[in-house]
Amino acid sequence: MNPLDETSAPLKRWTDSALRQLPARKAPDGFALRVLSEIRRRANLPWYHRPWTQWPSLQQWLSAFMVAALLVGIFGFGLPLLQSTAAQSPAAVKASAAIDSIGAVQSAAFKITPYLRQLAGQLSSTHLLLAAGSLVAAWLSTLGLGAACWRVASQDR
Amino acid sequence: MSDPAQFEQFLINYQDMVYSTAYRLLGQEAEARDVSQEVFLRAWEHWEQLSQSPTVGGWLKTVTRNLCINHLQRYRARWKFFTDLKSADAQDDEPGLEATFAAPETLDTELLTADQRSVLEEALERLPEDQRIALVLYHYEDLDYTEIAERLHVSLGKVKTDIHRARLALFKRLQPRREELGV
Repeated sequence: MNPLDETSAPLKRWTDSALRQLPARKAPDGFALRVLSEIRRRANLPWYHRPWTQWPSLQQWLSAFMVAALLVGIFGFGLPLLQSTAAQSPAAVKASAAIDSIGAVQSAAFKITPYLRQLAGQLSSTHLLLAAGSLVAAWLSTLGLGAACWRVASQDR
Repeated sequence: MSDPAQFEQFLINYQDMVYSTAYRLLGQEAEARDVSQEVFLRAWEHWEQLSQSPTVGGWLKTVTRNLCINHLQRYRARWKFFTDLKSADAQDDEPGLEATFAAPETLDTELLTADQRSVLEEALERLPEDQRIALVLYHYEDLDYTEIAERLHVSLGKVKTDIHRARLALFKRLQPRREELGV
């Protein structure tokens, strides 16, 4: 058993009794008015600015029908049509050229890899430590700057 | 939608309870006000069912608690690093709190004076966030240790330690005042 369970029973009873004696905090002045005016503001929003679940049912049905029609159009007609014409289209030619250029980049990467390995072998551990240190220092200074800004910004709250 | 006047009365009746719950969990007035407002906006969306429900108070408490926990997890996670620094600073002010407490067999649970209640309220506000949230969920929201650990995504051990430390801190804060006041 956790030792806290054995030693804290009287303290737990005391805390429970003490906390339950605290009165509820008063809501800020004008809170109810603020909520009611927000309700009114939302009620006056046009339907297309509200969540879909709150749209009028006609608009909900229409939008659902349109989405379904769009999906059927894309998957039922659009894609098969695209597949049958893709081979001859200029877009397909461009895509093929793009794939060729990716292949060229890949072969270039394979060619320079041995040189990069050789370069890495020549680097001493001091160079690597310096590079890692610089990265850590840059990261920490960004984080430190963020922390400083946060503290300055939250100081006046 | 149902009668707005009835909703307004409901809002007035429950606003302090909802705001109190939100404030004790979030520890900030502006955030507590925004979350409380969101609770009542949701209540308005479900007003047709809620207006007839005998358990509307429980519904409000549950929604408030859930929204507060979601808020804490969503908006505060990104600042956790900074608040952790602050909490560490605050805890350094009170070293060895556990060591100075003798874990007595019995403690008085008599009625607190108004002065003691305000000291306790202030002490509750000043608790580190992790401790305050766990304590409030345990003592005000009646969640058990396991439920709190699950809801906050922390270990059971951390919840128990946080709550124990929070209780000790509150007790320690009130003790000098009790002696001062001769009670």
